[in-house]
Amino acid sequence: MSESPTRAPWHADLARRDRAAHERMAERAAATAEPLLQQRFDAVTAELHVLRAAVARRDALLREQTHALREREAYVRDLEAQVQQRPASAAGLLRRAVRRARSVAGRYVRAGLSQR
Amino acid sequence: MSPVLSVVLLGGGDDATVLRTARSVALDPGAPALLVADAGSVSAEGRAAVDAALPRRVEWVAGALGVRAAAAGGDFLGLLAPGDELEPGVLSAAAEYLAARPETDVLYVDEQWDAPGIEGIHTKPGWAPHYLEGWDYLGRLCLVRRALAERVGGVADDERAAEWDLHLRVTEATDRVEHLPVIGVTRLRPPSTDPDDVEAGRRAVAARYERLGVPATVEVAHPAGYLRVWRTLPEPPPLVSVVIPTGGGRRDVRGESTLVVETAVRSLVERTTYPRWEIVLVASENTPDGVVDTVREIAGDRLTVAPVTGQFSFSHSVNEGVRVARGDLVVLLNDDTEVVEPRWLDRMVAVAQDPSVGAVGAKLLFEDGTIQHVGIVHDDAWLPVHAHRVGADDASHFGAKIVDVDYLAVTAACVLVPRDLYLDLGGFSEELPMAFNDVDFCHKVVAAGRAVVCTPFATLFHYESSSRVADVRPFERQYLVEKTVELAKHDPHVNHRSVR
Repeated sequence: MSESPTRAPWHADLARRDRAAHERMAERAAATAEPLLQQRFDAVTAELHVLRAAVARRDALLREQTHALREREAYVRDLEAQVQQRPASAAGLLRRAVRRARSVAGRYVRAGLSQR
Repeated sequence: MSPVLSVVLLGGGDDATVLRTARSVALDPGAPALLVADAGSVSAEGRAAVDAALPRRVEWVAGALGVRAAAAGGDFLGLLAPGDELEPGVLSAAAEYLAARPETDVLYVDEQWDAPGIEGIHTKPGWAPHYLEGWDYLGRLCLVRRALAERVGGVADDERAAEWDLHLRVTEATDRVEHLPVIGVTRLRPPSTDPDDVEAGRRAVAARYERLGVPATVEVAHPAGYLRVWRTLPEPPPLVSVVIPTGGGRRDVRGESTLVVETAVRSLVERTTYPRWEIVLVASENTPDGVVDTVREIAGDRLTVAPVTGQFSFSHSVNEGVRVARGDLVVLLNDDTEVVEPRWLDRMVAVAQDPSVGAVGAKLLFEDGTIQHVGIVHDDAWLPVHAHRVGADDASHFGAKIVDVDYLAVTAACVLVPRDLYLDLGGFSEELPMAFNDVDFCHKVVAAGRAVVCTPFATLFHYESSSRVADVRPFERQYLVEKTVELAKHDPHVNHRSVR
């Protein structure tokens, strides 16, 4: 296959433009590196702010739940004490129900505290 | 000093939904933010409850949305629907971000809504102007500098596409658009797919083109609300040269040994509806006898043959093809492709009519119909990978496989470039003879200030094996590290979480 006489110079000129375009790429990379890093930093700072707010919100919710569960456990204990003062035959069923309620409440309190 | 943010509620709310949003704002007590609510949609009791939840931070305004938005104070405004909830801390984080970056005119965050799996978790790309014309991906919460919003005419009264319309108009006036990649909003309801709302969105995009004085038609691409803009072509339309390098190879396609270039050219001739195109077949010297004759028989007068010698180099072959090409636009096309959508070339040419666009990619499918290419993104090592590879060709991922999307790079298996730009940029670098030359070229396009857009409507098969994994050879890795990695960090589809 014969090559046209203009072909080699054409490709050489194209290669020269390729080098010039890559120089522009390098210039752009150098000029934009620091602004990009700054933008990433600002975005990370904002994300951390949102994460901290989410953690604080979750913490506040767990504190509220823990407080409510402690109140409920105290109430259950009070009920248990009342049941124990009644005759044994009449209180058997109630005692089992209270034990069950206390077990469930205790489990929630422990789960709540373990997530703090 | 932090800017003050105004969150303006759209209409259609009631006591419960407005209170729900107000309570979410109240969870960010330190945020310099106000809630602007529709006085007409909430009862006196409801208003009292909202005021109690958010003391001295609610403005009650009666009237249409435009009136409410105009009455909003503050430096930035964003729109939410009643019932949408802001995540704790997002308003104060946005205010701090805007204070640190005072040049920012538009700031948007990620969002979510109730949907199966991850379908409702919308982690958005960075600023992608062509994507915004196909879908309002800026969504909620998108904070717009109030003075800028006023300068472009404020917020429209018609609420059905008021957000999209505002986002389009402000981004005609500024490109200082930034993305804060945190889930900032939980929508009460997903984006509307009501046909009337979709039509309102279509009209908003059409109105942009009327404002710009650019003749175009806007069509609904998918009932979910995805749109497609067709810029009107000049008469006569530009000549396109389709440059196909080939070695006359055969491959099993649908169980049969196939001369792939024959399939590609036959599909071009039989299916392409675009009226002005030619083929430049760049035949390498080991091309079997008869292949060029076979192609000539199919393509007839459209065909120009550009023979090349020596060891096969894709870059040298396409450069030689472009040298011979006569078109104003060139399409580089692999010989193992097949046209699926007859208007594929009409579409690519229409997208290239946008003078800001320097390269247009297509959607390529594997033989089994899964995605081979709808754009190139970058992995954790800043090396290029195909987005949605082997994913279903469907409407998932917020229309990314349906609407035009800006990328840093597209594959040269099918890419359209204005010939003048191709020559200005020095074509494909012959230092990369086989792989990654397309990524390198697209970086040159972007460095020249032009956009790279993939338009999935232009659909072709690419008979590459889906099990093939592109291995990066040491010299290619070195090349990418030296020349493209720093620019790859600007990939709009990668955010700071990818930086290790």
